[in-house]
Amino acid sequence: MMKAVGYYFLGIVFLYAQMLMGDSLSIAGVVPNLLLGYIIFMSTRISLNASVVIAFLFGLAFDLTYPYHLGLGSMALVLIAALVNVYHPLLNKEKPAYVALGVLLMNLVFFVLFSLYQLVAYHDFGFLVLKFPLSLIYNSVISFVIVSVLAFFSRLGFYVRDEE
Amino acid sequence: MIRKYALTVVLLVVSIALFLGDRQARIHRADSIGKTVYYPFIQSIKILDGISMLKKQNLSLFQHNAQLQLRLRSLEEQLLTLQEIPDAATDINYVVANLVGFHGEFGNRNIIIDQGYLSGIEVNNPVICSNGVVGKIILTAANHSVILPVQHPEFKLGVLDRKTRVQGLLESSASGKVFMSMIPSDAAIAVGDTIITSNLSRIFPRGFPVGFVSKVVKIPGEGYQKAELSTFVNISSMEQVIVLLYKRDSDFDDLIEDESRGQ
Repeated sequence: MMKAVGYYFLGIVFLYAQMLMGDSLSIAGVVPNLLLGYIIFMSTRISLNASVVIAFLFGLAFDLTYPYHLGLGSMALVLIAALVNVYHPLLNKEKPAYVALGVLLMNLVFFVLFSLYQLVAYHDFGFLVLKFPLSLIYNSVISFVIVSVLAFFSRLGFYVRDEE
Repeated sequence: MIRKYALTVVLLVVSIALFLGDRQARIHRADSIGKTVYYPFIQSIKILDGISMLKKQNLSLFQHNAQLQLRLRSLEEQLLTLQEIPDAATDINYVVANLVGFHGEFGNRNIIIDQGYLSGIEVNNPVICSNGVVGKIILTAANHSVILPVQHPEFKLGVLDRKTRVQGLLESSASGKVFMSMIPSDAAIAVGDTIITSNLSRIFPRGFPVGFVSKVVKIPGEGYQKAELSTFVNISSMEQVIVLLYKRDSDFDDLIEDESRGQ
């Protein structure tokens, strides 16, 4: 329980980092989602129920800043949290290639959902052709960096001790 | 199994429920959530946005302030220049003339204006515009005159640094660069200093602005240094000039000539 609370507070840090630094990290109009990397990492460390609740809360908070797609962000993050939580024990090897592949797949889930929304709501094919590949690659890189950094600090026991 | 995923399914259903409806409905829902459950978060975001906006405004005001400071400095310079022009100079009669053509090659060209000796213009009358010194009259016809501009290699003028009061001679190179030469090597002339016409000029009254120092060139082993100037007047963008009907008292020159003959 305490571990989940610790990760919740860490999520607050990432949420505000997203709000404060997101725009300044944008490339060609693509604003990276810093919460994605955090959710992926957090879901490998705590129980399913705790991780989906945290993912829902931060997904909803993220949606409130872009109310046009309210519910979509929380849905995507809950789905990612559940997928990671369920499947990571099967592939829980800390080799960078596995981590990168996992991160890429989770980003794919996230951006497929958002691209479908763009396509249905705005018939925006341009997003699919131009922004989707860049968003996927850029966010995957950012998520991979975040996951790696969090894993490193977790091993050092900086914020939440993995050993219970 | 069902129990394990029950919460996940519930949260997904809630998310889908929030997502349902049109954009207006979602905005309305977001507004309601922001005013209740997420009130502290939304307020903190508003405060952060406010701080960010204030920072941008602060930066914009800072830049505006810098521009005003520069403008103020420029106006102060102009005021000082006007204060330096002797009262006698403000009483000088003048003729306003339009530029009607150029004569000569690009680097060495003279300016032709549409006023001549019928308007009272004589050879060696100084020519200025609102920004500063333009040149001097070298030829007059009934309704036209030719100006030798400051940038012409044959133009020479006695000038001084307004700040340090150091005297020098204004001359131009064949490429059109304007220099102040004959500056003593120990003179504290600096980039940015304003150069004005001096009392030593036989054509111009004292105090008319010529340009500012853009580069100081020290010549090793020489007793003098020279300064490259950026003139205040750009001939290419000029349309009108003012010809001052001013002639320096020639008795002074005659006296010097007689004196040198006597010796």
